Amino acid sequence: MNGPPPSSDAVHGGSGSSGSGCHESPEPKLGGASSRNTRHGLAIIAWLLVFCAISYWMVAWAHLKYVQGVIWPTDIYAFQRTDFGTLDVAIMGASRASFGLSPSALDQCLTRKLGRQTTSVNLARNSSPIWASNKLVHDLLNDEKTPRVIVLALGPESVDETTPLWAQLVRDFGDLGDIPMGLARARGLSDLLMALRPLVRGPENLALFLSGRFASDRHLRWMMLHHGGGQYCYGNPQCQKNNENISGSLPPWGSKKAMARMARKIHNHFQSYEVGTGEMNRAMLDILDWSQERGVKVALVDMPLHRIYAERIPFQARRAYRSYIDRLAQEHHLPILHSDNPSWLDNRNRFVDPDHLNQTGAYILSNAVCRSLLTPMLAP
Amino acid sequence: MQKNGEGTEQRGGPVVGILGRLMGSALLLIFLAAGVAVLLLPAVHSREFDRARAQGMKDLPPAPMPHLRQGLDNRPLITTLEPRSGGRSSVALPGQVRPRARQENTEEGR
Repeated sequence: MNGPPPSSDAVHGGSGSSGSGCHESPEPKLGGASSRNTRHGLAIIAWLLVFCAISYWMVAWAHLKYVQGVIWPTDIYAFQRTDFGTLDVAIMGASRASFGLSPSALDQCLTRKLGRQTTSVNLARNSSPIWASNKLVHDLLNDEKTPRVIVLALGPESVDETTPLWAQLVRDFGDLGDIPMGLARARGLSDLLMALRPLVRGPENLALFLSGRFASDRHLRWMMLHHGGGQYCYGNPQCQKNNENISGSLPPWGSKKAMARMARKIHNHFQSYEVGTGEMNRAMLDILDWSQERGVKVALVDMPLHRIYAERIPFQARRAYRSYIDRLAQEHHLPILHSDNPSWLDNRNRFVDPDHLNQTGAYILSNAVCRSLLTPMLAP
Repeated sequence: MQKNGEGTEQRGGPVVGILGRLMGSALLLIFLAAGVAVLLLPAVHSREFDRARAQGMKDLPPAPMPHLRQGLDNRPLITTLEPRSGGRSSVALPGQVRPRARQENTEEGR
């Protein structure tokens, strides 16, 4: 870069004009200038890649992988940076888990049942099937943050090998090594770009971190610091106000428009359905292996759906899902709580929309999980 | 005699060179500053979060961000307000206080 200035011949060549009329510009020099330009271009690309790689590792080293533009529904950064002491329960799942399982309600129930203070956290992420939960378990729950019990909150979509979300999953949770899989399963240009996103995670997350964008949702931070995450908490007027704010933020779900949208969403997701054969199954088994190595117990919760949602899921998919989680529970001796019974399916008063619970439903489900699953698992 | 951009290169060269060096230096400084921030800020945040957790909650939680609905199912934000159907639950939640105004709108309230 600090070499002598280019000769006029090279400059002529660099212009790319073959008709310069300059007799001192023979063909070899034209080629030389062109290759110099190519070298410069490649150098810029190489430096860009070096910059991306350094910032990628810097972000990974500093545990900033999950600092993202929209951090809903869990402030993972606050979880990573806060000393919670010994964790008793970590809830993994998607938005249904964030709404349906409240660490606040679990801890109140467990404290009563066990006669000691417990600490639960909800680490659910939006649209997170088991492949994403596996990434989060490995990234977040190591060392001093290893819980005694992991609760896997599941739904039919959580274990579907044919999920249309693969590219999005690689974008949000994947590492560099997952890019080929994301590219192979891409279904369009948008998916291709999403699958390549880990390449630019370094600069992107650095910018988000330095701009403070990740800290802009004070509600999520408040929930994580004081109530272990999730959407609802219980036991004081602030929590009551919080719960009302949540319910008030969501539109009602009875309108024809909302129903049509829900039907379209279910149709898009369940055009094909497969369980137990691929990456999702491997991720599930990986979580079980990880837990076994560390003496962590695992419980399964089949998250409640309202009948108008559940019955739109093709029967074959529902049957395959039920059969898969039952087999898994049986083979690995995992306690499981099913919610596909009329007390959930037909009880609209427990839902904020057809597949997410309201504060009442979350309180009832959290207490059921506490009594039937967690109390025996955490009892001395 | 200058032809085909030769003159441009000769006139713009030093300026472009200086600008390039300045931009390069600025980028390097930004990158270094980012590195220092990544080293220092998380520790600062850790102390801040631990202190906030130890102090307990003092303020009412701010309302959720308006992107809540988008985050829920990746749909565009819906702002239409429609009457909510479905009755209130009879399950009593800890800390729950039923607003008097709502009771007054019921038959019992009157």
